[in-house]
Amino acid sequence: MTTPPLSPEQGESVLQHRFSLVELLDLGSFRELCESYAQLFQIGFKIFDDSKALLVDVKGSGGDFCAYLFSHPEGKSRCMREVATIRGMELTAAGPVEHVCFTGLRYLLVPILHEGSVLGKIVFGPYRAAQAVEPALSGLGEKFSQEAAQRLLDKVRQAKRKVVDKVVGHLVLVIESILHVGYKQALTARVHVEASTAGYAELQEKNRELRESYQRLKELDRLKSNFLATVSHELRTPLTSVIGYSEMLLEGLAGELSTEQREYVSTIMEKGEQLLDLITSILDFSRIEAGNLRLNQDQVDINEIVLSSVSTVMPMARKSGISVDCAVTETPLRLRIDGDKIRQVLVNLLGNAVKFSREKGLVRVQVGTGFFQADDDQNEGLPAALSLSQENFVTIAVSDSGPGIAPDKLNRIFDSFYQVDGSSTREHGGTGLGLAIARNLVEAHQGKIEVKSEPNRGSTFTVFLPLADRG
Amino acid sequence: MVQINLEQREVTLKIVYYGPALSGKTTNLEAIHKLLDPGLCGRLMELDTADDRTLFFDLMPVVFRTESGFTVKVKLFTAPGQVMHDSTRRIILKGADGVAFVADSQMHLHKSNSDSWRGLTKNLKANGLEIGKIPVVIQFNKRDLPNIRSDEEIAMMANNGKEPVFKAVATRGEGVIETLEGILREAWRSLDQNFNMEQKLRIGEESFIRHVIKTKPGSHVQGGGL
Repeated sequence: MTTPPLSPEQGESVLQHRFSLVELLDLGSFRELCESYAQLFQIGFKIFDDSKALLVDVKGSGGDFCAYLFSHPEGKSRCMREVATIRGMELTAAGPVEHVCFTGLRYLLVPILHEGSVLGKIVFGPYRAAQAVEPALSGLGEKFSQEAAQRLLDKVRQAKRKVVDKVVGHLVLVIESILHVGYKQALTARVHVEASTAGYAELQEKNRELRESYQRLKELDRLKSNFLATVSHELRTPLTSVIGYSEMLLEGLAGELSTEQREYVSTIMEKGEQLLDLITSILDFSRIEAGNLRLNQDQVDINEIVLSSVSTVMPMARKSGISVDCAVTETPLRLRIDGDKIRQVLVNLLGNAVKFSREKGLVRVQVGTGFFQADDDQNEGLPAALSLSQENFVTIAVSDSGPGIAPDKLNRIFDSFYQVDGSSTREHGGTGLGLAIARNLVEAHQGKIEVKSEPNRGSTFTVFLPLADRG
Repeated sequence: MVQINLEQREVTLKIVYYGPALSGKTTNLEAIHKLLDPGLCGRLMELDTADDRTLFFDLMPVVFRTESGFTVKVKLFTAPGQVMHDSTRRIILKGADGVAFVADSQMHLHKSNSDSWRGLTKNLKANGLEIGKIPVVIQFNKRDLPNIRSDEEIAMMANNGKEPVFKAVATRGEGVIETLEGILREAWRSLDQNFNMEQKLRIGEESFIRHVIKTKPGSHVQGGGL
């Protein structure tokens, strides 16, 4: 199987994707963390991504002061200029930059790095530098009160640069480890999705190949069945003449035969009939395989069929000194079946029973009724109580006193061309088609055939036929 | 394939550690992580299962800045060794600039080495890469174990092939830096030939190698090359 190439539109490997901050962070919980961090150190901060979008904005002790300035038009415009400057400042991986605002308050700008690339920046502040004196604010309008501003300014957290560096250092460390986890998850998920997609594509490809080869095999199988049917038919025609003319010779239509001639012609006829049986079996089987089996169903008493089948095999049984014990029911059991086909099944089973029974053995045939749970597809996976198709069946059991069948061979005996003794020196002849045909014929009647066997005690074949037509 | 972003002045190289299951690919990365200057190499990202076997991949970036202002990222990946992760291996190999094949020196693992190599060939092909054209070095790991292929045999076989061969005991950090240096050199030469790296980044091969392989002061690395 060839491995399908990765789709060309995914020119970039998932592993080379450059993730943005938003992709790596869970913004909701990250903002909560930032809130708590700002409360802890009383210094607020903002976080921008590399496209300068504001992701986080948490207020610290400088919030009230900034809000007061912002409430005056001139203060507001100066503040906004300051924010625009800070927002636009490009940071490199080299390190933090301190920015002093027009109020004298300070901000520390720190890059957020991931694998050496700047993914965004932290604008940490405002804070008051230690021992610094902030310039007096003027020109902010009439309503602006210097005293009020100063009161709020005094509340802004004062911190040494060393302390600020440390606090920001911790924040960076926290962010970096969150990014690491986020990166790990994002990569894992992407690789997982891509691997599953690739695996799925491979399976699809394999399925397609299997489907194609299945179709090919099915077609070949159909051709084989057709071939068998045609060949069997063509073989039968001349064979009928061979048997017919042999019969005429034996009847003396071409003059009296000597004892030796009679013996030879009898052998020709007997072997010809054997060959005809064989060809008929193959023809039956190939018809069944090709799906050309037609049933001529009619209301028939099964007891009659059983009795007539027994009488067919009686001469052969007598020859081997085997007795046949037949038990039919007292009242007629009328079934809608193809009598000829069921007779063919029973003759086959009885023939086998006689063939495999030991000398002076016993073959029993018993007709009865039974309860039988069909194990067809509609019952698959259902508990017995929920299963459908529990029906009354007629059972015909044929038991022999033969050598029995080994348990490991039991489930194969209905396979076509299977012989329990497949050796060239085997005792009993046959095509290995009889039971396969029997099973197919019984199944065509919605019935079932079962075998139970005990080595050295004999085997029992049971045919189940439904009493009434199904649904 | 190397990613060169002139606007952001960033260059990203991808090196993949490939090899049969349990041959020591992750151990190589762990050793490199221990030996290299922590200022340069980022966190080692390991995606392994409870039984220490790599589920998806491991990743460790080594990042440095050139005097000309370029950020150079060398990303070291390991591909999962277990047979069932073939599609993941293919994804990891996508766009690789070099492959360090970590073979198990033990005699009885010869077949898993060769199966893995064939897998590498097939998976590179699925990514439009070719085994003879992409830089590859081979590391014979686990030299400290008994019943291994002999030094003589490896030396002889190495002579017949074109891939540089290294010997290592990754658990002790021996030979891992040499292997890394080997694949970095091969990768750099190939990239320089195709993309004029020296001119673009204004650093030469030696400078590139020295930048990446800056070991921790005091860490002792034993030689493993042939």
